[in-house]
Amino acid sequence: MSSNGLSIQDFLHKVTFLQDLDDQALSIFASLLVSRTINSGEVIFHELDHSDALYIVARGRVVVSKHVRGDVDIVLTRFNPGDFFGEMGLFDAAPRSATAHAESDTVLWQLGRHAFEQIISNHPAMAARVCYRLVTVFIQRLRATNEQAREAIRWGLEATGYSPDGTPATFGRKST
Amino acid sequence: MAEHAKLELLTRSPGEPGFQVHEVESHQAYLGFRPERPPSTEWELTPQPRGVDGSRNYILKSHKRDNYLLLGPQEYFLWEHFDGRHSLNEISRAIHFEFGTFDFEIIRQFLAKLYLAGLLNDVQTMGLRRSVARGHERWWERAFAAISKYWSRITFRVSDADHYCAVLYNRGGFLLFRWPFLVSYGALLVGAIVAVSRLWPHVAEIAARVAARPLLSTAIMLATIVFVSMLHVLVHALACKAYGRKVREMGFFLLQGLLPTFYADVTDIFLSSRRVRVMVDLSGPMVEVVCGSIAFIGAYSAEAGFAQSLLFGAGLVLWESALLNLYPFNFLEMDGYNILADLLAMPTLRQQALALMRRLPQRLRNGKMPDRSEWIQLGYLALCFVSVLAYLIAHLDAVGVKLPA
Repeated sequence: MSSNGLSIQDFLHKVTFLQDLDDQALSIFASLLVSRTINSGEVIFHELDHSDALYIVARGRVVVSKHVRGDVDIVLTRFNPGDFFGEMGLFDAAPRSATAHAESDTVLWQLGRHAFEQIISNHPAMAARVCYRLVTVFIQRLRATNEQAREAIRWGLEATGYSPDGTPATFGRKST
Repeated sequence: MAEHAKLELLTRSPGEPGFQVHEVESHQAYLGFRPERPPSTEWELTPQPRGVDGSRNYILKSHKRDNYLLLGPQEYFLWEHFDGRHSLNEISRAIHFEFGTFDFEIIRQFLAKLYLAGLLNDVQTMGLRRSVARGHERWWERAFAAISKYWSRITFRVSDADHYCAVLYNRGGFLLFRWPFLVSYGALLVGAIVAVSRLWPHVAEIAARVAARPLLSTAIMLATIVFVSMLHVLVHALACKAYGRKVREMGFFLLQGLLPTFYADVTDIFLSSRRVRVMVDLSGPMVEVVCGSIAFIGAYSAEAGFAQSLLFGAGLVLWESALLNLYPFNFLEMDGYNILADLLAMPTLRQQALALMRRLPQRLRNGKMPDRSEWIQLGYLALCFVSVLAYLIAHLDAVGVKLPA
């Protein structure tokens, strides 16, 4: 059962990248998931860790951040029940690009890369539907990242006294 | 105004589990920003003479970018405090105690000026700033910018002018500023005055001979003006070298974006005394005076004819040019204006006056009377208006336009 009393299949049906799957496919998918419980404040994975799994938030809240300097990270995004993160780990063995922390006591469903490869091998039609949805989410997240970059630049310009009121003039004397 | 941009930061306390999330608005960071000027080897600061209100301006030169900033008293105070240790919040409190009133916009504008001049450590945003600003222009601003762009293409500049001027100065240019030459300029002037007084009774005949061949006369006069203008600017540059300062560049540009003219950038003389600046300013118009004097003496020596008329005409045009150049009240930043601005210790008199004119109605409505320096700015504006009007009326009359009675 998930956090709000739904069956696991009903819950998975609300997860964006699984919306195109029928009950049978969802049941196959559910059988490959592993449950993880994380206490508030604990780290789910660190930036630069080995990446090999996707996580679906069943309960609680996850905050994802990227290291800036010293003990300071910048918060990139938050995930609530029904959201998923770490999807890059299904396709790419590169290190994690950010750190994920539990902001409250959290329950996650973990799908490992090996399990995902099993789906691709044994259920290609199901894998295609999942991948199509994942690509849609990738695009949305890329757009959100662009917006975030714009906001970060706006923040930097404002924080350093940037002003759009014309080019400030330097002083000079041109004898004519 | 759009909301301040926000960032969420996640921090961890050493030795403690968990983390904290803080939302930081850009203006919070701005107040906490600790601007730091570069090492003193990268800039030079020179105090200027005190103005009528007793305040002092400073010229700050960036060696890195080879540009100059004029610092008012508050900006100088800011510069002194931009040591990387004081936050803008602390500095703004200090400046408020020092000056009584304070507009935070001064800090913003001063920071932008310092970025442009490369006089702040580690912050480079101006290129981006300009490209962002460009996107917000209205159609008429874009049209005006396009026209200005094409008009401004007639400009050119010689950036290694200092080298050429130094060579020219060392190979004889210095003689122009030695006593024998200075005395000879005086002798030429006296000779020219005598020549003009002797020729004046025949001025109608002289003018008629010029008018008889209008195209040729106009072409020769224009060529004379252009040639003497080049000499004028060159002498400014050589005078700058005579006082051991640098000529940043020379070239051809649109004075106040409008009037095509040659120029020599002698901003480096602000690192010298006021007397030196006045001397450099005076040196240019002296070229017109001397060349005009030579033309008048030539006209007096020549036999009556077209050549004599041309010489006389050239003398008149050059002396008028010197007078216009030395007359400060014409809205243009020519030599006379520069001398006036130096004498008043108000190096941006024209800009200040125009800015005051825009905000004056509002100020008067609020019952705030101008202070002493603002009265000077208003006086400058009034004299400019009257002078330009008088000049236009005189010349309209000269070209035969009849004004209504």
